[in-house]
Amino acid sequence: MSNNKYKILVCEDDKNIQNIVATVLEASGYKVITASTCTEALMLGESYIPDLVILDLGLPDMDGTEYIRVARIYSPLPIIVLSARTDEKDKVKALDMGANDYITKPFGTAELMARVRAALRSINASANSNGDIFELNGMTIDYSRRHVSIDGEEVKLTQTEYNVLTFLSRHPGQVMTYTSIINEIWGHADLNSIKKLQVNMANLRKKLGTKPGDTRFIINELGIGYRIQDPM
Amino acid sequence: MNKTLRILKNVGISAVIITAIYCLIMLLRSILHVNSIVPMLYVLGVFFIALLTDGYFYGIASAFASAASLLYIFDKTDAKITYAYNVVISIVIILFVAMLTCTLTTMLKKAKRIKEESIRENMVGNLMRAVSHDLRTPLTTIYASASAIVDNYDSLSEEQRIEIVNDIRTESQGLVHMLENTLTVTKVNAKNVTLTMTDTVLEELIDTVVVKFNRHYPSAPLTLDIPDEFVSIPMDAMLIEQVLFNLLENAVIHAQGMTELVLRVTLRKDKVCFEVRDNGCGIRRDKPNKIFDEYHSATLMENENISKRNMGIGLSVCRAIIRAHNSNIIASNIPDGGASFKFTLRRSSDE
Repeated sequence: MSNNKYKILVCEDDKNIQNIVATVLEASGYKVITASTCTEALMLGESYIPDLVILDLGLPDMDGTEYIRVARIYSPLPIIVLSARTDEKDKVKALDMGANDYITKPFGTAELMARVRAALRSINASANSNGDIFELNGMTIDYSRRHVSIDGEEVKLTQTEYNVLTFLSRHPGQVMTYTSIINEIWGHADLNSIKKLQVNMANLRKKLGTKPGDTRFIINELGIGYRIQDPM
Repeated sequence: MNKTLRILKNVGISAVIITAIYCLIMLLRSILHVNSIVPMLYVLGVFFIALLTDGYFYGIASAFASAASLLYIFDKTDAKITYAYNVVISIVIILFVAMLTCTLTTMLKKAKRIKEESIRENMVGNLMRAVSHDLRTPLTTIYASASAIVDNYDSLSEEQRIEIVNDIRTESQGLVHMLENTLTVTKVNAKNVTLTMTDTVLEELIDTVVVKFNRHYPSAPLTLDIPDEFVSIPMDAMLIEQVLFNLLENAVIHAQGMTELVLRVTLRKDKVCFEVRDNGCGIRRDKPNKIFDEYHSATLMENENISKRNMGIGLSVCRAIIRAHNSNIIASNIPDGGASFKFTLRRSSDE
Protein backbone atom coordinates (compact mmCIF):
# COMPACT_ATOMS: atom_id res chain seq x y z
CA MET A 1 0.00 0.00 0.00
CA SER A 2 1.43 3.37 -0.90
CA ASN A 3 1.89 6.08 1.70
CA ASN A 4 -0.08 8.50 -0.44
CA LYS A 5 -3.30 6.89 0.52
CA TYR A 6 -2.95 7.71 4.22
CA LYS A 7 -4.78 10.76 5.53
CA ILE A 8 -3.55 12.21 8.79
CA LEU A 9 -5.51 14.66 10.90
CA VAL A 10 -3.28 16.98 12.91
CA CYS A 11 -5.07 18.64 15.80
CA GLU A 12 -2.87 21.23 17.45
CA ASP A 13 -3.70 24.80 18.46
CA ASP A 14 -0.20 26.21 18.11
CA LYS A 15 0.15 27.29 14.48
CA ASN A 16 3.94 26.86 14.35
CA ILE A 17 3.84 23.29 15.61
CA GLN A 18 0.89 22.55 13.36
CA ASN A 19 2.82 23.88 10.36
CA ILE A 20 6.02 21.97 10.99
CA VAL A 21 4.21 18.70 11.70
CA ALA A 22 2.12 19.14 8.53
CA THR A 23 5.19 19.99 6.47
CA VAL A 24 7.15 16.98 7.67
CA LEU A 25 4.22 14.62 7.09
CA GLU A 26 3.53 16.02 3.63
CA ALA A 27 7.21 15.69 2.76
CA SER A 28 6.88 11.99 3.56
CA GLY A 29 3.93 11.66 1.22
CA TYR A 30 0.99 11.70 3.61
CA LYS A 31 -2.11 13.77 3.06
CA VAL A 32 -2.58 16.18 5.97
CA ILE A 33 -5.71 17.81 7.36
CA THR A 34 -5.24 20.35 10.15
CA ALA A 35 -7.51 21.43 12.99
CA SER A 36 -6.99 23.86 15.85
CA THR A 37 -9.79 22.86 18.19
CA CYS A 38 -11.44 19.66 19.32
CA THR A 39 -14.76 20.63 17.76
CA GLU A 40 -13.08 21.30 14.44
CA ALA A 41 -11.17 18.02 14.66
CA LEU A 42 -14.35 16.04 15.34
CA MET A 43 -16.11 17.72 12.41
CA LEU A 44 -13.21 17.18 10.01
CA GLY A 45 -12.82 13.66 11.31
CA GLU A 46 -16.38 12.85 10.29
CA SER A 47 -16.12 14.28 6.78
CA TYR A 48 -12.58 13.18 5.84
CA ILE A 49 -12.29 9.85 7.73
CA PRO A 50 -8.56 10.09 8.47
CA ASP A 51 -6.35 7.02 8.94
CA LEU A 52 -4.51 8.52 11.87
CA VAL A 53 -4.95 11.42 14.28
CA ILE A 54 -2.12 13.36 15.88
CA LEU A 55 -3.68 15.08 18.85
CA ASP A 56 -2.42 17.77 21.20
CA LEU A 57 -3.77 17.30 24.72
CA GLY A 58 -3.98 20.97 25.66
CA LEU A 59 -6.58 22.29 23.26
CA PRO A 60 -8.47 25.54 23.85
CA ASP A 61 -12.06 24.27 23.73
CA MET A 62 -11.97 20.78 25.25
CA ASP A 63 -9.57 18.49 26.97
CA GLY A 64 -7.82 16.31 24.39
CA THR A 65 -8.87 13.19 26.29
CA GLU A 66 -12.48 14.20 25.66
CA TYR A 67 -11.75 13.98 21.94
CA ILE A 68 -10.35 10.47 22.40
CA ARG A 69 -13.48 9.41 24.27
CA VAL A 70 -15.79 10.70 21.53
CA ALA A 71 -13.62 9.47 18.65
CA ARG A 72 -13.35 5.99 20.18
CA ILE A 73 -17.13 5.61 20.06
CA TYR A 74 -17.05 5.71 16.24
CA SER A 75 -13.89 3.97 15.24
CA PRO A 76 -10.68 2.26 16.23
CA LEU A 77 -8.59 4.79 14.30
CA PRO A 78 -5.08 5.21 15.70
CA ILE A 79 -4.44 8.30 17.81
CA ILE A 80 -0.99 9.65 18.68
CA VAL A 81 -1.01 12.09 21.55
CA LEU A 82 1.32 15.08 21.72
CA SER A 83 2.04 15.97 25.29
CA ALA A 84 4.20 18.34 27.28
CA ARG A 85 6.35 16.86 29.99
CA THR A 86 4.23 18.53 32.65
CA ASP A 87 1.02 16.66 31.93
CA GLU A 88 2.40 13.25 32.82
CA LYS A 89 -0.90 12.12 34.29
CA ASP A 90 -2.92 13.22 31.27
CA LYS A 91 -0.60 11.17 29.10
CA VAL A 92 -1.30 7.95 30.98
CA LYS A 93 -5.00 8.82 31.10
CA ALA A 94 -5.04 9.40 27.33
CA LEU A 95 -3.29 6.07 26.69
CA ASP A 96 -5.64 4.21 29.00
CA MET A 97 -8.62 5.83 27.27
CA GLY A 98 -7.49 4.40 23.96
CA ALA A 99 -4.78 6.59 22.48
CA ASN A 100 -2.30 4.33 20.69
CA ASP A 101 0.89 6.15 21.46
CA TYR A 102 2.34 9.40 22.70
CA ILE A 103 5.20 11.66 21.87
CA THR A 104 6.62 14.21 24.27
CA LYS A 105 7.11 17.83 23.23
CA PRO A 106 9.59 18.87 22.04
CA PHE A 107 10.15 16.03 19.62
CA GLY A 108 12.42 15.35 16.69
CA THR A 109 10.90 14.64 13.31
CA ALA A 110 12.58 11.23 13.12
CA GLU A 111 10.83 10.23 16.34
CA LEU A 112 7.50 11.57 15.08
CA MET A 113 7.78 9.67 11.79
CA ALA A 114 8.70 6.44 13.59
CA ARG A 115 5.57 6.73 15.74
CA VAL A 116 3.40 7.50 12.72
CA ARG A 117 4.74 4.50 10.80
CA ALA A 118 4.27 2.18 13.79
CA ALA A 119 0.71 3.39 14.33
CA LEU A 120 -0.21 3.04 10.66
CA ARG A 121 1.32 -0.42 10.53
CA SER A 122 -0.91 -1.48 13.42
CA ILE A 123 -3.99 -0.96 11.20
CA ASN A 124 -2.58 -3.33 8.61
CA ALA A 125 -1.40 -5.76 11.24
CA SER A 126 -4.90 -6.18 12.65
CA ALA A 127 -6.32 -6.39 9.11
CA ASN A 128 -4.21 -9.29 7.90
CA SER A 129 -3.04 -10.74 11.26
CA ASN A 130 0.64 -10.49 10.40
CA GLY A 131 3.09 -13.30 9.71
CA ASP A 132 4.15 -16.24 11.80
CA ILE A 133 7.59 -14.94 12.57
CA PHE A 134 8.78 -11.79 14.31
CA GLU A 135 12.43 -10.84 13.92
CA LEU A 136 14.29 -8.11 15.76
CA ASN A 137 18.02 -7.61 16.23
CA GLY A 138 18.79 -11.31 16.27
CA MET A 139 15.72 -12.29 18.30
CA THR A 140 13.18 -14.51 16.54
CA ILE A 141 9.68 -15.26 17.76
CA ASP A 142 8.01 -18.15 15.97
CA TYR A 143 4.34 -17.71 16.84
CA SER A 144 3.16 -21.03 15.42
CA ARG A 145 5.70 -23.06 17.39
CA ARG A 146 5.63 -20.71 20.41
CA HIS A 147 9.39 -20.62 20.17
CA VAL A 148 11.75 -17.74 20.97
CA SER A 149 15.44 -17.67 20.08
CA ILE A 150 18.29 -15.22 20.06
CA ASP A 151 21.00 -15.71 17.43
CA GLY A 152 19.71 -19.24 16.92
CA GLU A 153 19.86 -20.16 20.63
CA GLU A 154 16.54 -21.07 22.16
CA VAL A 155 15.31 -18.90 25.03
CA LYS A 156 13.14 -20.80 27.48
CA LEU A 157 10.29 -18.60 28.64
CA THR A 158 7.41 -19.25 30.98
CA GLN A 159 3.87 -19.04 29.64
CA THR A 160 3.37 -15.53 31.03
CA GLU A 161 6.72 -14.23 29.83
CA TYR A 162 6.00 -15.57 26.36
CA ASN A 163 2.54 -14.00 26.36
CA VAL A 164 3.87 -10.59 27.39
CA LEU A 165 6.63 -10.72 24.79
CA THR A 166 4.29 -11.70 21.96
CA PHE A 167 1.74 -9.09 23.01
CA LEU A 168 4.45 -6.41 22.76
CA SER A 169 5.74 -7.82 19.48
CA ARG A 170 2.27 -7.64 17.93
CA HIS A 171 2.48 -3.87 18.42
CA PRO A 172 6.06 -3.08 17.43
CA GLY A 173 7.21 0.44 18.14
CA GLN A 174 4.10 1.27 20.13
CA VAL A 175 3.95 1.85 23.85
CA MET A 176 1.77 -0.64 25.73
CA THR A 177 0.60 0.64 29.09
CA TYR A 178 0.76 -1.49 32.25
CA THR A 179 -3.04 -1.57 32.25
CA SER A 180 -3.33 -2.78 28.66
CA ILE A 181 -0.73 -5.53 29.17
CA ILE A 182 -2.34 -6.68 32.41
CA ASN A 183 -5.78 -6.79 30.82
CA GLU A 184 -4.40 -8.78 27.90
CA ILE A 185 -2.40 -11.28 29.97
CA TRP A 186 -4.47 -11.81 33.11
CA GLY A 187 -7.81 -10.50 31.91
CA HIS A 188 -8.35 -8.44 35.03
CA ALA A 189 -6.31 -6.23 37.31
CA ASP A 190 -5.79 -6.56 41.05
CA LEU A 191 -3.61 -4.76 43.57
CA ASN A 192 -0.49 -6.74 42.78
CA SER A 193 -0.87 -6.80 39.00
CA ILE A 194 1.74 -4.17 38.22
CA LYS A 195 4.26 -5.76 40.57
CA LYS A 196 3.55 -9.15 39.02
CA LEU A 197 4.09 -7.69 35.56
CA GLN A 198 7.29 -5.94 36.64
CA VAL A 199 8.69 -9.16 38.08
CA ASN A 200 7.87 -10.99 34.85
CA MET A 201 9.52 -8.24 32.83
CA ALA A 202 12.64 -8.44 35.03
CA ASN A 203 12.87 -12.18 34.37
CA LEU A 204 12.22 -11.64 30.69
CA ARG A 205 15.02 -9.07 30.47
CA LYS A 206 17.35 -11.48 32.24
CA LYS A 207 16.50 -14.30 29.84
CA LEU A 208 16.89 -12.04 26.82
CA GLY A 209 20.26 -11.01 28.23
CA THR A 210 19.59 -7.26 28.32
CA LYS A 211 21.45 -5.02 30.71
CA PRO A 212 20.39 -1.48 31.70
CA GLY A 213 21.02 0.89 28.79
CA ASP A 214 20.50 -1.85 26.21
CA THR A 215 17.75 -0.89 23.75
CA ARG A 216 17.97 -3.84 21.36
CA PHE A 217 14.65 -5.40 22.37
CA ILE A 218 12.35 -3.83 24.94
CA ILE A 219 12.30 -0.18 25.97
CA ASN A 220 11.10 0.85 29.42
CA GLU A 221 8.68 3.73 29.53
CA LEU A 222 9.03 4.49 33.21
CA GLY A 223 5.68 4.83 34.93
CA ILE A 224 3.78 4.16 31.69
CA GLY A 225 4.56 0.77 30.23
CA TYR A 226 6.80 -1.02 27.75
CA ARG A 227 7.58 -0.72 24.08
CA ILE A 228 9.27 -3.28 21.87
CA GLN A 229 11.68 -1.93 19.27
CA ASP A 230 10.26 -1.58 15.80
CA PRO A 231 12.07 -3.94 13.38
CA MET A 232 10.85 -1.72 10.46
CA MET B 1 -8.78 14.53 57.83
CA ASN B 2 -5.68 16.61 58.50
CA LYS B 3 -7.72 18.99 60.62
CA THR B 4 -9.24 16.30 62.83
CA LEU B 5 -5.77 14.85 63.26
CA ARG B 6 -4.47 18.19 64.50
CA ILE B 7 -7.40 18.64 66.89
CA LEU B 8 -6.78 15.15 68.27
CA LYS B 9 -3.11 15.95 68.72
CA ASN B 10 -3.87 19.20 70.55
CA VAL B 11 -6.47 17.58 72.80
CA GLY B 12 -4.03 14.75 73.52
CA ILE B 13 -1.22 17.09 74.49
CA SER B 14 -3.53 19.10 76.75
CA ALA B 15 -4.95 16.01 78.44
CA VAL B 16 -1.53 14.47 79.08
CA ILE B 17 -0.10 17.65 80.58
CA ILE B 18 -3.14 18.33 82.78
CA THR B 19 -3.13 14.76 84.07
CA ALA B 20 0.59 14.87 84.73
CA ILE B 21 0.33 18.14 86.62
CA TYR B 22 -2.64 16.89 88.64
CA CYS B 23 -0.77 13.71 89.63
CA LEU B 24 2.29 15.74 90.57
CA ILE B 25 0.18 18.03 92.73
CA MET B 26 -1.45 15.10 94.51
CA LEU B 27 1.93 13.50 95.06
CA LEU B 28 3.55 16.65 96.45
CA ARG B 29 0.56 17.40 98.64
CA SER B 30 0.62 13.94 100.16
CA ILE B 31 4.38 14.08 100.78
CA LEU B 32 5.00 17.72 101.70
CA HIS B 33 1.49 18.72 102.86
CA VAL B 34 1.76 22.18 101.28
CA ASN B 35 -0.87 23.99 99.27
CA SER B 36 1.09 27.08 98.26
CA ILE B 37 2.90 25.20 95.51
CA VAL B 38 -0.34 24.13 93.81
CA PRO B 39 -1.10 27.33 91.83
CA MET B 40 2.53 27.50 90.68
CA LEU B 41 2.33 24.02 89.24
CA TYR B 42 -0.91 24.85 87.45
CA VAL B 43 0.72 27.94 85.95
CA LEU B 44 3.54 25.72 84.69
CA GLY B 45 1.10 23.23 83.19
CA VAL B 46 -0.94 25.91 81.42
CA PHE B 47 2.25 27.48 80.13
CA PHE B 48 3.33 24.20 78.52
CA ILE B 49 -0.08 23.57 77.01
CA ALA B 50 -0.22 27.05 75.51
CA LEU B 51 3.29 26.56 74.16
CA LEU B 52 2.72 23.17 72.54
CA THR B 53 -0.78 23.55 71.07
CA ASP B 54 -2.05 25.64 68.15
CA GLY B 55 -3.97 28.85 68.66
CA TYR B 56 -5.63 30.25 71.78
CA PHE B 57 -8.35 27.74 72.50
CA TYR B 58 -6.45 24.96 74.27
CA GLY B 59 -4.40 27.28 76.47
CA ILE B 60 -7.44 29.23 77.66
CA ALA B 61 -9.53 26.10 78.10
CA SER B 62 -6.85 24.43 80.18
CA ALA B 63 -6.53 27.62 82.23
CA PHE B 64 -10.21 27.37 83.10
CA ALA B 65 -9.87 23.68 83.85
CA SER B 66 -6.94 24.41 86.15
CA ALA B 67 -8.88 27.16 87.86
CA ALA B 68 -11.82 24.82 88.40
CA SER B 69 -9.68 22.08 89.86
CA LEU B 70 -7.87 24.67 92.01
CA LEU B 71 -11.23 25.67 93.45
CA TYR B 72 -12.05 22.01 93.98
CA ILE B 73 -8.78 21.25 95.78
CA PHE B 74 -9.04 24.27 98.08
CA ASP B 75 -12.68 23.62 98.71
CA LYS B 76 -11.86 20.20 100.08
CA THR B 77 -9.04 21.40 102.32
CA ASP B 78 -11.00 23.42 104.85
CA ALA B 79 -9.67 26.65 103.48
CA LYS B 80 -9.49 29.79 105.53
CA ILE B 81 -10.59 33.12 104.18
CA THR B 82 -7.03 34.17 103.26
CA TYR B 83 -6.80 31.13 101.04
CA ALA B 84 -9.82 32.31 99.12
CA TYR B 85 -7.99 35.48 98.10
CA ASN B 86 -4.98 33.38 97.16
CA VAL B 87 -7.13 31.22 94.95
CA VAL B 88 -8.75 34.12 93.14
CA ILE B 89 -5.39 35.77 92.49
CA SER B 90 -3.90 32.45 91.29
CA ILE B 91 -6.76 31.94 88.86
CA VAL B 92 -6.34 35.41 87.42
CA ILE B 93 -2.59 34.81 87.02
CA ILE B 94 -3.14 31.44 85.37
CA LEU B 95 -5.52 33.01 82.85
CA PHE B 96 -3.07 35.78 82.08
CA VAL B 97 -0.19 33.36 81.60
CA ALA B 98 -2.28 31.26 79.26
CA MET B 99 -3.31 34.24 77.18
CA LEU B 100 0.14 35.77 76.94
CA THR B 101 1.82 32.49 76.06
CA CYS B 102 -0.74 31.80 73.37
CA THR B 103 -0.19 35.26 71.88
CA LEU B 104 3.57 34.77 71.91
CA THR B 105 3.58 31.30 70.35
CA THR B 106 1.09 32.37 67.68
CA MET B 107 3.32 35.31 66.82
CA LEU B 108 6.37 33.05 66.71
CA LYS B 109 4.69 30.59 64.38
CA LYS B 110 3.62 33.42 62.10
CA ALA B 111 7.17 34.78 61.98
CA LYS B 112 8.53 31.34 61.16
CA ARG B 113 6.07 30.95 58.30
CA ILE B 114 6.97 34.35 56.90
CA LYS B 115 10.66 33.47 57.07
CA GLU B 116 10.12 30.17 55.23
CA GLU B 117 8.18 31.97 52.55
CA SER B 118 10.90 34.54 52.06
CA ILE B 119 13.54 31.78 51.80
CA ARG B 120 11.47 30.11 49.12
CA GLU B 121 10.95 33.38 47.28
CA ASN B 122 14.65 34.08 47.53
CA MET B 123 15.44 30.71 46.04
CA VAL B 124 13.00 31.21 43.18
CA GLY B 125 14.53 34.65 42.60
CA ASN B 126 18.04 33.20 42.44
CA LEU B 127 16.85 30.54 40.09
CA MET B 128 15.16 33.05 37.80
CA ARG B 129 18.37 35.09 37.66
CA ALA B 130 20.45 32.02 36.88
CA VAL B 131 18.03 30.79 34.26
CA SER B 132 17.70 34.12 32.49
CA HIS B 133 21.47 34.35 32.41
CA ASP B 134 21.86 30.83 31.08
CA LEU B 135 19.13 31.33 28.50
CA ARG B 136 20.92 34.16 26.78
CA THR B 137 23.78 32.18 25.25
CA PRO B 138 21.79 29.46 23.49
CA LEU B 139 19.13 31.95 22.42
CA THR B 140 21.80 34.18 20.90
CA THR B 141 23.17 31.25 18.94
CA ILE B 142 19.72 30.20 17.75
CA TYR B 143 18.68 33.69 16.78
CA ALA B 144 21.97 34.45 15.01
CA SER B 145 21.99 31.11 13.20
CA ALA B 146 18.43 31.44 12.00
CA SER B 147 19.04 35.02 10.83
CA ALA B 148 22.22 33.94 9.08
CA ILE B 149 20.30 31.41 7.03
CA VAL B 150 17.36 33.68 6.21
CA ASP B 151 19.54 36.68 5.33
CA ASN B 152 22.34 34.92 3.47
CA TYR B 153 20.60 31.88 2.10
CA ASP B 154 22.14 32.08 -1.37
CA SER B 155 25.66 32.93 -0.33
CA LEU B 156 25.90 29.97 2.07
CA SER B 157 26.91 26.58 0.79
CA GLU B 158 24.71 23.55 1.40
CA GLU B 159 27.13 22.22 4.04
CA GLN B 160 27.30 25.56 5.82
CA ARG B 161 23.55 25.73 6.02
CA ILE B 162 23.31 22.25 7.45
CA GLU B 163 26.02 23.05 9.96
CA ILE B 164 24.20 26.17 11.13
CA VAL B 165 20.88 24.38 11.38
CA ASN B 166 22.57 21.64 13.40
CA ASP B 167 23.81 24.28 15.85
CA ILE B 168 20.23 25.42 16.24
CA ARG B 169 19.17 21.88 16.98
CA THR B 170 21.89 21.29 19.58
CA GLU B 171 21.23 24.58 21.34
CA SER B 172 17.49 23.97 21.46
CA GLN B 173 18.06 20.59 23.06
CA GLY B 174 20.13 22.32 25.71
CA LEU B 175 17.26 24.74 26.29
CA VAL B 176 14.79 21.90 26.69
CA HIS B 177 16.98 20.35 29.33
CA MET B 178 17.28 23.62 31.19
CA LEU B 179 13.53 24.10 31.05
CA GLU B 180 12.98 20.66 32.55
CA ASN B 181 15.23 21.53 35.48
CA THR B 182 13.54 24.87 35.99
CA LEU B 183 10.08 23.34 35.95
CA THR B 184 11.17 20.76 38.47
CA VAL B 185 12.56 23.35 40.86
CA THR B 186 9.34 25.31 40.80
CA LYS B 187 7.36 22.11 41.27
CA VAL B 188 9.46 20.80 44.15
CA ASN B 189 9.65 24.17 45.88
CA ALA B 190 5.96 24.85 45.60
CA LYS B 191 4.10 25.21 48.89
CA ASN B 192 2.40 21.86 48.65
CA VAL B 193 4.88 19.54 47.00
CA THR B 194 2.99 16.82 45.19
CA LEU B 195 5.32 13.94 44.51
CA THR B 196 3.86 11.13 42.47
CA MET B 197 5.19 8.26 44.54
CA THR B 198 5.09 4.95 42.73
CA ASP B 199 6.87 1.67 43.35
CA THR B 200 9.62 1.78 40.78
CA VAL B 201 11.79 -1.13 39.70
CA LEU B 202 15.42 -0.17 40.24
CA GLU B 203 16.60 -1.83 37.05
CA GLU B 204 14.01 -0.01 34.95
CA LEU B 205 14.94 3.31 36.52
CA ILE B 206 18.65 2.79 35.84
CA ASP B 207 17.87 1.60 32.32
CA THR B 208 15.86 4.73 31.55
CA VAL B 209 18.62 6.98 32.91
CA VAL B 210 21.37 5.16 31.03
CA VAL B 211 19.47 5.14 27.72
CA LYS B 212 18.90 8.88 27.97
CA PHE B 213 22.48 9.51 29.09
CA ASN B 214 23.98 7.42 26.29
CA ARG B 215 21.91 9.35 23.78
CA HIS B 216 23.31 12.68 25.00
CA TYR B 217 26.87 11.57 25.84
CA PRO B 218 27.63 8.41 23.86
CA SER B 219 31.36 8.56 24.54
CA ALA B 220 31.20 9.00 28.33
CA PRO B 221 33.11 6.25 30.23
CA LEU B 222 30.10 5.11 32.24
CA THR B 223 30.13 1.83 34.15
CA LEU B 224 27.26 0.45 36.21
CA ASP B 225 27.47 -1.36 39.50
CA ILE B 226 23.95 -2.33 40.47
CA PRO B 227 22.50 -5.26 42.41
CA ASP B 228 21.16 -8.25 40.50
CA GLU B 229 18.04 -8.80 42.55
CA PHE B 230 14.58 -7.39 41.93
CA VAL B 231 14.21 -4.21 43.98
CA SER B 232 11.17 -1.96 44.04
CA ILE B 233 11.54 1.48 45.58
CA PRO B 234 8.77 4.01 46.24
CA MET B 235 9.75 7.29 44.58
CA ASP B 236 8.73 9.94 42.11
CA ALA B 237 10.42 8.16 39.24
CA MET B 238 10.49 11.14 36.86
CA LEU B 239 12.28 13.23 39.44
CA ILE B 240 14.79 10.62 40.61
CA GLU B 241 15.56 9.91 36.97
CA GLN B 242 16.33 13.59 36.61
CA VAL B 243 18.59 13.54 39.69
CA LEU B 244 20.67 10.66 38.35
CA PHE B 245 20.87 12.21 34.89
CA ASN B 246 21.93 15.57 36.30
CA LEU B 247 24.63 13.97 38.45
CA LEU B 248 26.04 12.02 35.51
CA GLU B 249 25.89 15.06 33.26
CA ASN B 250 27.53 17.17 35.94
CA ALA B 251 30.48 14.76 35.96
CA VAL B 252 30.78 14.85 32.16
CA ILE B 253 30.79 18.64 32.07
CA HIS B 254 32.84 19.45 35.17
CA ALA B 255 35.07 16.53 36.12
CA GLN B 256 38.15 17.50 34.16
CA GLY B 257 40.42 14.60 33.28
CA MET B 258 37.77 12.01 34.09
CA THR B 259 38.47 8.54 32.70
CA GLU B 260 35.97 6.64 34.79
CA LEU B 261 32.38 7.41 35.76
CA VAL B 262 30.56 4.97 38.00
CA LEU B 263 26.87 4.75 38.85
CA ARG B 264 26.65 2.47 41.84
CA VAL B 265 23.61 1.29 43.75
CA THR B 266 23.99 -0.66 46.98
CA LEU B 267 21.26 -2.23 49.07
CA ARG B 268 21.13 -1.83 52.80
CA LYS B 269 18.63 -3.33 55.16
CA ASP B 270 15.88 -0.78 54.67
CA LYS B 271 17.54 1.69 52.35
CA VAL B 272 18.98 1.93 48.87
CA CYS B 273 22.13 3.96 48.44
CA PHE B 274 22.80 5.67 45.07
CA GLU B 275 26.25 6.96 44.24
CA VAL B 276 27.69 8.75 41.21
CA ARG B 277 31.48 8.97 41.36
CA ASP B 278 34.16 10.07 38.95
CA ASN B 279 37.94 10.22 39.01
CA GLY B 280 38.16 13.76 37.65
CA CYS B 281 39.41 16.94 39.23
CA GLY B 282 37.11 16.86 42.26
CA ILE B 283 35.31 19.74 43.91
CA ARG B 284 37.61 22.58 44.82
CA ARG B 285 36.00 23.69 48.03
CA ASP B 286 36.64 23.29 51.74
CA LYS B 287 33.06 22.19 52.10
CA PRO B 288 32.05 20.24 49.00
CA ASN B 289 28.38 20.37 50.00
CA LYS B 290 28.37 24.10 49.31
CA ILE B 291 28.31 23.14 45.66
CA PHE B 292 24.55 22.62 45.89
CA ASP B 293 24.02 26.25 46.88
CA GLU B 294 25.75 27.78 43.93
CA TYR B 295 23.95 28.39 40.71
CA HIS B 296 27.18 28.99 38.88
CA SER B 297 29.28 26.26 40.30
CA ALA B 298 31.58 26.27 37.26
CA THR B 299 33.64 28.88 39.02
CA LEU B 300 34.28 26.42 41.83
CA MET B 301 35.89 23.79 39.72
CA GLU B 302 39.54 23.44 38.88
CA ASN B 303 39.05 24.51 35.34
CA GLU B 304 37.66 27.99 34.90
CA ASN B 305 37.42 28.31 31.17
CA ILE B 306 34.82 25.66 30.51
CA SER B 307 31.36 26.47 29.30
CA LYS B 308 29.38 28.07 32.07
CA ARG B 309 26.09 27.00 30.69
CA ASN B 310 23.44 25.09 32.58
CA MET B 311 25.54 25.39 35.68
CA GLY B 312 24.58 24.51 39.15
CA ILE B 313 20.86 24.65 38.49
CA GLY B 314 21.19 20.92 37.90
CA LEU B 315 22.75 20.25 41.28
CA SER B 316 20.38 22.43 43.24
CA VAL B 317 17.52 20.65 41.48
CA CYS B 318 18.99 17.35 42.69
CA ARG B 319 19.04 18.54 46.26
CA ALA B 320 15.52 19.94 46.10
CA ILE B 321 14.22 16.63 44.74
CA ILE B 322 16.03 14.47 47.28
CA ARG B 323 14.85 16.71 50.12
CA ALA B 324 11.30 16.39 48.89
CA HIS B 325 11.84 12.63 49.30
CA ASN B 326 12.79 13.27 52.96
CA SER B 327 16.40 12.37 52.39
CA ASN B 328 19.65 14.17 51.80
CA ILE B 329 22.30 14.35 49.11
CA ILE B 330 25.97 14.54 50.01
CA ALA B 331 28.89 15.68 47.89
CA SER B 332 32.44 14.72 48.81
CA ASN B 333 35.91 14.44 47.36
CA ILE B 334 37.51 11.04 46.99
CA PRO B 335 41.01 10.84 48.51
CA ASP B 336 42.50 9.37 45.30
CA GLY B 337 40.96 12.20 43.26
CA GLY B 338 37.50 12.73 41.90
CA ALA B 339 34.11 13.59 43.31
CA SER B 340 31.32 11.50 44.75
CA PHE B 341 27.63 12.31 45.08
CA LYS B 342 25.50 10.09 47.30
CA PHE B 343 21.89 9.87 48.37
CA THR B 344 19.66 7.22 49.88
CA LEU B 345 16.02 6.30 49.47
CA ARG B 346 13.80 4.11 51.64
CA ARG B 347 12.94 0.68 50.31
CA SER B 348 9.34 -0.48 49.99
CA SER B 349 7.84 -1.55 53.27
CA ASP B 350 6.75 -4.87 51.75
CA GLU B 351 10.27 -5.86 50.71
